[in-house]
Amino acid sequence: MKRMKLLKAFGLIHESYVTEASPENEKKFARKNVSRLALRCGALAAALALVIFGSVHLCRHSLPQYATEILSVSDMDIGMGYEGYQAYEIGELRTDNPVGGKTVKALNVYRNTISYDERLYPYGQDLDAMKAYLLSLADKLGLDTDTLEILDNAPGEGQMQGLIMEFASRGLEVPEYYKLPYIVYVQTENYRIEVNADMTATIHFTERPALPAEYHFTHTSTPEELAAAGEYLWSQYGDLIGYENPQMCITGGGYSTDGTQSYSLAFYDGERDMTENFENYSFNRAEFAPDSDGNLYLIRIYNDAALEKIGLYPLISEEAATALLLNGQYYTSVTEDFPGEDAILKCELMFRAGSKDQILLPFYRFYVQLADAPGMHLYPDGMQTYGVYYVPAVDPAYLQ
Amino acid sequence: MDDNRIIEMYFARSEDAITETDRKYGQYCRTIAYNILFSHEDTDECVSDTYMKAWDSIPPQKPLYLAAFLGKITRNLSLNRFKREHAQKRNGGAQVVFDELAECIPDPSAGDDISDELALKEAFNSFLAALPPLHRVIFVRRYWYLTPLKEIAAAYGYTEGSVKAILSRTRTRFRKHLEKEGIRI
Repeated sequence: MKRMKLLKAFGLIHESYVTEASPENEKKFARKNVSRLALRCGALAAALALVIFGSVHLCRHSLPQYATEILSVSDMDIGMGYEGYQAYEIGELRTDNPVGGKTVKALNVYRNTISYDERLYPYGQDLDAMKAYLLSLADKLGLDTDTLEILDNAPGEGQMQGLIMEFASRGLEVPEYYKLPYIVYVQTENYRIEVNADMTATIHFTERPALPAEYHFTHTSTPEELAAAGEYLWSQYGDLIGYENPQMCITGGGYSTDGTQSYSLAFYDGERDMTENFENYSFNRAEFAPDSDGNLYLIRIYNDAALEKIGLYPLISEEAATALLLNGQYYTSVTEDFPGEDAILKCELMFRAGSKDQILLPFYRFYVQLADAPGMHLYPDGMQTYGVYYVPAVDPAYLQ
Repeated sequence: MDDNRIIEMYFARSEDAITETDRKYGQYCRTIAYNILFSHEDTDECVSDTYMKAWDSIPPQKPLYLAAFLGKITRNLSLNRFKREHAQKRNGGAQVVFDELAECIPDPSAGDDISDELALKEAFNSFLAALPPLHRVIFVRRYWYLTPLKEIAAAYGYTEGSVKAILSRTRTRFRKHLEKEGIRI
């Protein structure tokens, strides 16, 4: 059957085209359209913009330390998948965000010095810095750094030939940076330590350390069990990470289809003021991950070494962000239309850290209850879906 | 959860990998399957089978794009199921797309019968690389994701008629491209 053959053969196209056309990337190609809702909200938006512009105008005179660069967020990576969380009630979802309900008037915005091409292949990495960080971690783990061999993932000859053919099929040449590694690592009897292009370090254990029997450390541990395990793990590995005032954060609380709830355990350094704590919580954190048997599977240390500060930017209030959300000015990977103000159940300030965005700026993250979300028949009765919608927190006068 | 973390769970043979995959990509895979099968029951089974295939494939594979990797598996499984169970009934989401694709099949006299996967893959990729981005995403949405015309029109802010016109021109261009490359289906 020729048509079936052709349709199946279409499945062979390069994955970057699949990603480009995914439902989550629709907004990049969507024609600007004035919806009825937007018309209804037009007057409100105009008034809001006037108030914001006026306040910015005043702020620029009284607070000259604000950055002047206009930020582009049009290409923001909203991620694949469906950012919806399942829980019986919104209170079950926790992030241990140090900002909590406090008002923040300004925050720094950062530029990622690492770029990613359409294949998500990174470039711009500092290989010397990656190796130096790798060796410093190895040293803290008691390894003899003089005898360690640093390995990397630069493509071998066979892989390079494959890349050349693949690019040639699209009429392109392989970019030079494909010859460079974007992971450096050492492999010893007990550890594999890796540092990525973005300076994230991961320590894998060959023999995964078991916690003493009184601790329960798995993907289904309760927050109380994780807190106890976290105290123990910090006593064992805190020196490796080196935070002066470690703050534990337990995040998660969403359910899977089998009815189990899961949380993650991490630490950040919280000795400074609230703004710096928030930045550490967002960019400088150490995550401890278990395996299914309750052993320590890995430690991952995120840091801001590959970020470059652009400057301080004024933020809009949560109320102003809500108005923008209602006006349809949001990012989301949720496929449902925004259901309306009554469905907003929670809002928090956050950086979209961990993404491949070139500009890292703060967002208001709204949790919105979605009625009739797809796939809910797979979950236990009474479960709700909370979809996530993002509104940039930086004053719109600074956004392109 | 970050894709790397999910892939690590597969490598660690932790069954939580399936749970986290479903949490993040369940809806994505279900949409692809449903567009082909038009049946919730068949869709759920195909998505479950997708997770099992992913479990069997990772490791050794380490996908660069986890979403597209899963989507490809779902698409293949769904098309196989469609072929097996629905072809005789001539219904389901894929049937309409089949009829449209008939326009892309090159003239049999245009070249040798090439069933080589690599040649087909190269022909598809070089064609897509040369398309304007909007036409490319609409073409891929229709023939990779099998998204209904109405949804494509709504997604990109065009009328259904405009989308049909873009697809029709692109199909003709694609047929000529295959003929020029000497590919017969």
